[in-house]
Amino acid sequence: MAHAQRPRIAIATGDPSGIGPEISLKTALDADVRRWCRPILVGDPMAVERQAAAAGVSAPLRVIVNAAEADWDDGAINLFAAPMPPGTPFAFGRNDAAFGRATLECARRAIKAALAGEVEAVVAAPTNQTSIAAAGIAFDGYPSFVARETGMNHHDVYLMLCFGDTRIVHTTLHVGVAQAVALITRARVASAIRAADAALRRLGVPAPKIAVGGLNPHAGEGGLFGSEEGTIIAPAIADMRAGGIDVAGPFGADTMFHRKGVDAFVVMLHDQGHITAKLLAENRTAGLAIGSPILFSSVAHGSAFDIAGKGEANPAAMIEAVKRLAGADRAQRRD
Amino acid sequence: MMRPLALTLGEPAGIGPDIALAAWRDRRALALPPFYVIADADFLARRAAALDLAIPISAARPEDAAAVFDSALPVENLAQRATASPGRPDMTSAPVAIASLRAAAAAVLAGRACAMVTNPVAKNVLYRSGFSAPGQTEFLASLASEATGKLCKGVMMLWSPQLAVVPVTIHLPLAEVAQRINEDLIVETARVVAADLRDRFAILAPRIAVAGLNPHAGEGGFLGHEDDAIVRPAIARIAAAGIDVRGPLPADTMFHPAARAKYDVALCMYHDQALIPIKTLSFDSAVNVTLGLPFVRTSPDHGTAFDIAGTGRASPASLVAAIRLAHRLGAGKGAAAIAVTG
Repeated sequence: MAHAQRPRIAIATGDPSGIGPEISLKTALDADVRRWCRPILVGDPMAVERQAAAAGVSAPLRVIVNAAEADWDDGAINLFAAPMPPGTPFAFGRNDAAFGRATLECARRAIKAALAGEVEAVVAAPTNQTSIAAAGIAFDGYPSFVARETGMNHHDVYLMLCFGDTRIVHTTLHVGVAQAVALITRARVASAIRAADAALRRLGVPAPKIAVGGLNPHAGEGGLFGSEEGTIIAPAIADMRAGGIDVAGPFGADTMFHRKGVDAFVVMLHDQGHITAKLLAENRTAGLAIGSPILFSSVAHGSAFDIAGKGEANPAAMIEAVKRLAGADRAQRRD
Repeated sequence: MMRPLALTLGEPAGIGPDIALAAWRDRRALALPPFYVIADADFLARRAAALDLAIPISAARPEDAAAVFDSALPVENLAQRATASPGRPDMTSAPVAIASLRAAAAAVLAGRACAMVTNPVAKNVLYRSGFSAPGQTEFLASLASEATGKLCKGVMMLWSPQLAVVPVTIHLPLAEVAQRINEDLIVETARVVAADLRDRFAILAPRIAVAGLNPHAGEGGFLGHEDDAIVRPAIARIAAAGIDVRGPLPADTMFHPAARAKYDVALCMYHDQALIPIKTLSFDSAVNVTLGLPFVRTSPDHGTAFDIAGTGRASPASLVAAIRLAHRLGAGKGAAAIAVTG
């Protein structure tokens, strides 16, 4: 692929004290990743330097403040500086409010770069919830964070879990079941379908096929077990079909995932999608935050404090997430 | 002679007759235990002919069914006639389906059959005929209560060799689930489940895992209050009753193999939370087992499938799994035998 066409992807290095910086470095150096995109790390220069040394990464770091300074031809790793306050002590595998703040600071810097057109997509390394909570920050995962940082209602950015050829979009996510029921509106279901279609097209699926699951048992069984399918979900599907989107449903969520030829399943509840994903995926799940103006993905594993700084962390999930955003999975299948 | 299984006809216009005939056709290859169908024998013979199946049908009493089974499909003939065409329930559908259920209950309560397997019915067809129970399970529980003089509460469990799940609420709109789950419901369900896993499945100290209602089991109240307010106290009461129980667990991380190794059955708060994992792990082999009754009852994990009734396309796989499980439970072989063959 011609150099200038390869997308620039910002990799927010996540919790500075976990495995995030290490897998980000390994990802940026991966030959396949460099073939498909132009990576730029985002993080605290001192922490990334320490992580590189501990992991035996010898490539030099080029610390930059804007994308124009980046270069992918000299073997150096480009790093957008998102520095921690001067004098912040570094340690591997430690909970610290400063690290919690730094985690979200580098995600914020990466999102800004995407909004400014400096990068085409963002991949974020794992967070540590304890450190973020210690910083006094309310954080329930990247989708709502992306929503806030891009000026959207935090319920209107949706999590799309991706593994293999399966993608599952969650209309509601980190809310109790009672609140989820209240959030299921015709507009929001339509918006989740539209976001799924747009994200699939950005990922290189030319004519996305979408299946939508019900909220109630057996998708309401014709109104016997609940009315939302008839009054909310089916009308939202009809709206989107009228808008030219190839979408069908609502189907009973317990049997829907066996349908063939579906590019994305849209579910109503966190557990409807997550139970399925965690049974079918083998740890290489990427979580895309869709419906915002930017393309944003995280990886589904944690910051693994127990192996931080040991050079043992496996970057496979992040490499897959980066390649997915760069369109490598689709292109390879066409070859 | 071995006591047979009683198999109900179910909705005559559905696939019940088709899969009953197909199961008998495959009896030798599958080494099925003897069963007899409670039906209008002429109706069953007509369906067999329509499906091009050369199946000899022999009117038989339950006592004679096992002896007949190898050479003919034993049928306990009902007085009620069935006339429905495939896919088109008619006025005879509900009376014959109900009569079949009643006769099966009478046979297992009297010990003439070792267990019953029920074919799917169409609830709206039964309702239109004045059937007052919500479903077959509740109807059987009321027959059992009448016969034994003790109040029986049927509890639905979906079982497969990989996983057993019990939805605490079943066909309830999700908007009502949060209001309807309460401590007593969860505790009573767990008691019935623990007792039947011990007595029928021969699991001496059943281990129960309870899913939280909300994502991440409520995450300390941030994602809904019900897990702390209702599910957790219910679990404390279950534990106080001497039952090995854990939870509330986040439902998305409790079904992978390492997690499943720690429990025998998962109690889930709503339909999809229970059905999604078992349909993902065991799409064709899941069996519906009713716990809490004074007899063994299983059924295939699908509906009447009117669209393919009478075409020969219906798979008897789930019915066969239901027949096998009913036989092992009815014969008192319990889980040891199930684990070996599962």
